Amino acid sequence: MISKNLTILNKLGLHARAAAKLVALSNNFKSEIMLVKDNKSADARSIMKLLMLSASKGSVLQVKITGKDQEEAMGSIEKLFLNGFDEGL
Amino acid sequence: MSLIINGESISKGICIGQAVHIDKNNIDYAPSYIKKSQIPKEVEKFKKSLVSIREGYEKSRDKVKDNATIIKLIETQLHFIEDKSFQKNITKKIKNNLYTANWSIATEYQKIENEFKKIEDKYIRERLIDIKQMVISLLDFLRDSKSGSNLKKVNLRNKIIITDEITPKEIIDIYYNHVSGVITSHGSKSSHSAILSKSLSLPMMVKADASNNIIKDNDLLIMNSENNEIIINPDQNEIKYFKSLDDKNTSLVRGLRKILKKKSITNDGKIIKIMSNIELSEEVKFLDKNCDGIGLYRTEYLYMNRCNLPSEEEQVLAYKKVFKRMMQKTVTIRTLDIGSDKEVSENIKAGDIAKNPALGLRGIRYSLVEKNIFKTQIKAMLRAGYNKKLGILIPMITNVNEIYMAKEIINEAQIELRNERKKFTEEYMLGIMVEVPACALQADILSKHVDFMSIGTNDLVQYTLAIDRIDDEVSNLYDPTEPAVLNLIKKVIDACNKAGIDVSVCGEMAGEIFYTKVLLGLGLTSFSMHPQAIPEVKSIILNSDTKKIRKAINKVLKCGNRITRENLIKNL
Repeated sequence: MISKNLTILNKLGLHARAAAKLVALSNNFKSEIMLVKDNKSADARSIMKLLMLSASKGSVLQVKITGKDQEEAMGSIEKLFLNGFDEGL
Repeated sequence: MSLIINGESISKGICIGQAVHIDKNNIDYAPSYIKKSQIPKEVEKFKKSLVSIREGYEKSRDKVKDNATIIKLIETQLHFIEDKSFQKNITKKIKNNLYTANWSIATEYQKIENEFKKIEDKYIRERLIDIKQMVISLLDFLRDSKSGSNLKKVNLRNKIIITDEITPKEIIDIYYNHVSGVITSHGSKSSHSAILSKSLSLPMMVKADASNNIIKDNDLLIMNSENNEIIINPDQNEIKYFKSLDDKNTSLVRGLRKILKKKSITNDGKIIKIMSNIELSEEVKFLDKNCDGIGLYRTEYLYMNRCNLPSEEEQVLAYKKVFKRMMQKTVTIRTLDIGSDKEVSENIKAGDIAKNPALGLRGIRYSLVEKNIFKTQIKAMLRAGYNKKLGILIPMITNVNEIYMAKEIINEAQIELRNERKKFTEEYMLGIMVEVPACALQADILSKHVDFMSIGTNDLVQYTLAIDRIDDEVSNLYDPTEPAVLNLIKKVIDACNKAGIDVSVCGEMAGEIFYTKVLLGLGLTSFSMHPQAIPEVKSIILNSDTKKIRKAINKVLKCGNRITRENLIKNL
């Protein structure tokens, strides 16, 4: 298992479309991907759970990935976070 | 005895039909269980419901394939339907607790609802509406597994739909199902659904608070938009009366339709241009082909009811649709104008809500602060306008400097498009909205820097008379025929004529028959209005003698007494 703390950078936070992007991205990998915030954890493949994290701009999320392609998955997800979910920062 | 309740009408006219309730917001929380042997069947049922709802959404998506906004709404819905954790939890409940699929979904939704209510961010919290809509569709399917969407379950031809709220997608669905009218207990006049139903001429009333409880299925209803009334189970006399009104309206509308085909020319041979105002690209489908172009395409709706900004590509698609339909006629697109009377969505908010939004950061002022939003829109306009007649209309101009700065950004947009090797129009017309008195007063100077002007009378009246027409205390003082206003309009028209550039009026004054002759008298030769207003206004124009009116108008321009003035106008 690898873990990293990532910050939400885009203006609107982890809203529906951003969450949808994360789901779509996660579906490309085989590893288990979990996001944790304030003792709440969400499967990165569930848009509803991701929304329930209530992660607005500036929130720090712990991303935990377990599986064969964990390094690759982490790299891609980190990129998505850094890009502000392609919405501009 | 018939009963009358009130609502707010969206479009004109009378509509008679039988009520049918579409209860979308009722989630049935009655517990129900299955036997162990029924587990596989119940899981199967649940999976089928998902497939059916998904197919329904995919079909709707294909139907509106050129509306990017609605497609995005639907695609978010599809993500919710495909949510693995939601599906897993439901299946678990069926298998472990022996709940029926319905009861499993209802309890799972309750849990989701509780979680969502705790979310602080309003925009994330509001997505619960989407989940609720999906859950309701699923429950509907399970209740009656013959067909999916409740809107398609019953024959809706000539029915009046009663519901809490309605989505734009549902408006399109019911339109194709030949529904007579829609009554919602909530909703608002400015919603996307309302605009859509107006442009489809689908009778709709919102905020009919009591409708859901009082109206029963199959009740006969008369929707009378004239006085915002809904008559429930009218007696024979009422039916007869409204049927005759309805028939009269229909024949009137038919008569007016004929006028559309006639050349727009006054009795004394002056050609008058009549253009349309539109708000949604979908509206263009329903425009009469004789209309002289789009005088005002408001683009705010592209930016509203969403949490991100429309991309350049999305805008190109929307604008292209309008250009395509209008062939080689002019399409005037106004750049984003976040006005004082429009609710500002989070995505386009530049700061805290202004203390006095009418005098705040709006129109071009906003665009010059949020340059990238402006430039993206300009690029989309220039691309969509390739080989077409494009007018770029800039709102809320107050001085020459703003025109310079806007032009600079348009130049930057052109350079970028050239570097990106995209096709775009080099020849566009640049126009300004005349809404601020400062702009009207120096129309002669500004006319040297632009290709056309469009007078936005709603704001011009508000700023000139210092009256907020939504304020009930002073709205009776709002009068577009005050000499101060008319003289400003005249000044602008004269300045444009002298400079040899086009000038039109696109505010509500252009679409109201009371003012038609006044505007002709001021020398106006170009009107732009809501498409529904065209036949009536055109019939006045066809029966006008501009030479005679232009002589008579001088008295109106000098008349300070409102009642005398109104009489003078009636006799023009």
